[in-house]
Amino acid sequence: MVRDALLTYGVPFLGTVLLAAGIGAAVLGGYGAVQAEAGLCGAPTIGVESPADTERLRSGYGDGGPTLRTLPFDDLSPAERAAFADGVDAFDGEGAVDGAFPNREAFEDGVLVAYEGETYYATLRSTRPCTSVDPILLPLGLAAMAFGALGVLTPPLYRRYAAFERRQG
Amino acid sequence: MNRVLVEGGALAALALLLVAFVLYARRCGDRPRADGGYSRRSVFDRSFLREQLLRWTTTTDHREIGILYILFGTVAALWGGVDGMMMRLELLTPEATVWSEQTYNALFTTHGLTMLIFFVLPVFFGVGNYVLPLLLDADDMAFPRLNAVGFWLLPPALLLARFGLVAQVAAQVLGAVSPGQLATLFGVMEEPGIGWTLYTPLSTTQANPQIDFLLLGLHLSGIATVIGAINFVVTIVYERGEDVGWSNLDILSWNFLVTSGLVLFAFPLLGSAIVMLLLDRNFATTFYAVSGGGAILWQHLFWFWGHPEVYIIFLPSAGLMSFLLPKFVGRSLFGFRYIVYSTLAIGVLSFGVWAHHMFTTGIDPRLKASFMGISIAIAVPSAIKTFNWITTIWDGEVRLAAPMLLCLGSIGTFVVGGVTGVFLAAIPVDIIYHGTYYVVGHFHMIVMGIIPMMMLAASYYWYPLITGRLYDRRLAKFQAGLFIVGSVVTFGSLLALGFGELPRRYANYPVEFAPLQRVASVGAFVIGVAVLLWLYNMVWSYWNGKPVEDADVWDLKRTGQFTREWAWFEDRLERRYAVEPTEPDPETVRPSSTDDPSVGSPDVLRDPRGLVRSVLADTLYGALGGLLGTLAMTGVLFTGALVGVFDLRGFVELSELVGVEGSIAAGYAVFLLGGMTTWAILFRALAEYLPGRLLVVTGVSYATIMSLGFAVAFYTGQSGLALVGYLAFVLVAHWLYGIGLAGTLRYAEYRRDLEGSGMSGGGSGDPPEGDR
Ligand code: HEM
Ligand SMILES: [Cu+2]
Repeated sequence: MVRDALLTYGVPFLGTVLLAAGIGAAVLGGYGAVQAEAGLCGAPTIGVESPADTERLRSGYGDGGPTLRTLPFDDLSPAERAAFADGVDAFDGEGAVDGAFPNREAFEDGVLVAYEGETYYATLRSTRPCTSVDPILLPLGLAAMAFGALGVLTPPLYRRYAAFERRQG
Repeated sequence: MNRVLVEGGALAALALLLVAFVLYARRCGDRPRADGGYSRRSVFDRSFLREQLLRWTTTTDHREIGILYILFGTVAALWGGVDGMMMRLELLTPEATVWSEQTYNALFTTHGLTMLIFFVLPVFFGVGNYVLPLLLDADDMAFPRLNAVGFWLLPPALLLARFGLVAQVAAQVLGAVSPGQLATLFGVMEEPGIGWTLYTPLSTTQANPQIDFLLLGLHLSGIATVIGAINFVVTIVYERGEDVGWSNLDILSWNFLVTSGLVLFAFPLLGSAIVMLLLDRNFATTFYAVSGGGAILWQHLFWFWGHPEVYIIFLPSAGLMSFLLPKFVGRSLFGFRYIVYSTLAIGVLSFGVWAHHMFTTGIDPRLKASFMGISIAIAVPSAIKTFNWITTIWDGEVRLAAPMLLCLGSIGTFVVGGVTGVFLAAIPVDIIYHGTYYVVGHFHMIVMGIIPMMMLAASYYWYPLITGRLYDRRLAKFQAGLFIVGSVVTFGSLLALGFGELPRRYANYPVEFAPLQRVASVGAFVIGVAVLLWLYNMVWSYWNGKPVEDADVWDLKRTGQFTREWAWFEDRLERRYAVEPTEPDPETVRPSSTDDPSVGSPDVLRDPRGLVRSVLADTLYGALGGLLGTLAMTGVLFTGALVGVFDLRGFVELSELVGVEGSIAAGYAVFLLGGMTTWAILFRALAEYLPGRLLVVTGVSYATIMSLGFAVAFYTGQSGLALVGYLAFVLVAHWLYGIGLAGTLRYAEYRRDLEGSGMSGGGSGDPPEGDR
């Protein structure tokens, strides 16, 4: 009776937990393995507001609002310039800084960029860091998923086997 | 990572898997049976397809529309669930590394909206459509064609609301094939990341055109909901059969009546608020601008719909609980009348508490205090329900079927959700916890606990009624348990995170919260597995479940709870089959084999030659079993070596131990030999004294004991994760050894029995399906 319950509920339960933990570990581990090659991390994104929104944001404070630094576009590094230009064009105003990022601190605080006679408010939106996970996580996760699936499948397998043994008495 | 491809891919894979599985399940169900068999027309038959398409798109039958609603809601739940899983993936790491912050924002927005708007009510409307007319003794819903219209507004509404994903997939495909204007156009329509509450001014200032589609979709779904609600109200009021009066109206219908009433007052308001938002966005009106009503106006309007909505999705599940619980404890519902009163009270009060969602805004403190009063008061009718449920169980004859397990789980999570809610109703507490995971934990205990759990319970309870077949009951119980455990683990951890005052709706969080977040994620994946198991059970049993022969599946006649829908079902069974449906006699489908232990056992005294042969065979089979087991074990161990948790140096040491020169190959040969002789023979000798009636179980216990020694002998200094992996691999490898060894021995015995009884002739057909 107890064994029956154990095999019907206990073992598949453990299997499920293993499977669930395995999914997490495998995704993280797998992601950790490919992130750098696939260019999924390391290049922070900046956001650029349109000149109109920039004006609206600034005027909202009236006098005595925050004072922001102004950077001329030409003072930006090549990577920053490319990201900024991407941000101006993109619908969501985002561009990735793929390369040297000397003005990072300024972007972290929020900065005004003077570009072609207009002023754009720009900020750091995402640092997109690379995760550092133990490389063993991926194989362990996959193994846990395999063992877990086996655990979940125990009851039907066991029932088939038990039917087989019962037939021989 | 590219969220669009991942989510689109995951959904497509899920759909493909499901279709393949449906086809497979159909085919298995179609196999000719011993009783003459029945075949069904192929799904790919053109005329059949056309016929079915026409039938399902034009039907006005309340049961078929009910099924359509339920299918639609299930699809939405899976879609929203994928969003939830993706959020939990992101939260595995403290930094936003798996998805970007923007994607995370989109995820919690679409997850919340899909779940609340497109999953819960459609499923409940489906259940109501199917069973209410049966319970009320009505022929159909009051307005059958309007009913169909109400349903068919929903798919376009969902598509509009979630067009962002479709558009992004289109943009990426187009962009890869031929980048051009169309690709850019689609590319602009991102899934919005403004939260399911669509707070202004964020929702008015974001340029994303998908927000407009979302609003239109929400509006359309609101219209669909109102149509459905009107139909319920009129059906319950005017279409009741002659012997169904107000005094003996069942509790489920009461709940649907009150719910529909709430819908009638709440949803038109949402519609108006949405139209104003659309106007603000596109036609420069200023309803929610500072120069007009201000941002707080949106919050008032939104929550005046939003809080009743919470009860709109809660009341049907409470109704299901009050309806199902008595069936499994063999008593009638305790305090029926008080439950009806509390339902009505909740209906009225729920319109008077909306501002408790706005305690952290700048509204007048005296106003806030009054809302605090009503919010705490609304806990009273909810508590009445809980007490009545518990009293109903008290002293009852509890039957732990899957629906009952789910009822118990529901009451548990509802109590936690309710108690944490009372705290939130207190202004000083809410000020602290408002923006934290405490809130997420609180409302998920209710929306994830009681609502889907009662849906699952209902799906199990009425499955025989709808399909005429039984589902796998053991799997159902297991699934219910998994679902409950997963929910408690996940949302309990969220509550704990909330006590740590971790803010919600952030993709990044401080490292010290990582362990709890990971526990929550694992719990969420457990829920995901449970949902898939449910889907499996429902689909598979539809074609392969045991046909129902007696309409009283739940033994309700005995306690006088055989309600009208089951009586209708009984009628139908009789009308359709005239004769009681039966199954093929199991004896006739069994492969040839022997059941009789006395037949075929070797008779030692009269047949010494047979004895010698059997001993030889035993040894041989022992060695063979050992070989198979050891090979299986090798597979696992070498995988472990590849993974890096198991070190092959262990074999070198083994070879040195027996005095051969140290090499992996030699060590492995020794290992293989030992597995085939020493350990196998030891097992033969010990098997009788080990636990387990089945030989395989004995084998596994034997191998488990052995694995301890192995783990010590082959340990090569692993630590941390690697150590955990090492132990797991050793254990599993040994289990395989045990199964291989014992399985072979058992099989050998089986063959010999057959030969001995002269029944061999290769007759080792598939074992019959075990009992389910
Ligand atoms: C598998 C089950 C579920 C999981 C793992 C899950 C997970 C989550 C997570 C991680 C969040 C975001 C928390 C944050 O960052 O603030 C969330 C929010 C939410 N969930 Fe769920 N959820 C599940 C089921 C449900 C169900 C069944 C419903 C409704 C019926 C629901 C409704 C919501 C709502 C309304 C939000 C708030 C969205 C927002 O913050 O704007 N969830 N859920
Ligand atoms: Cu509320």
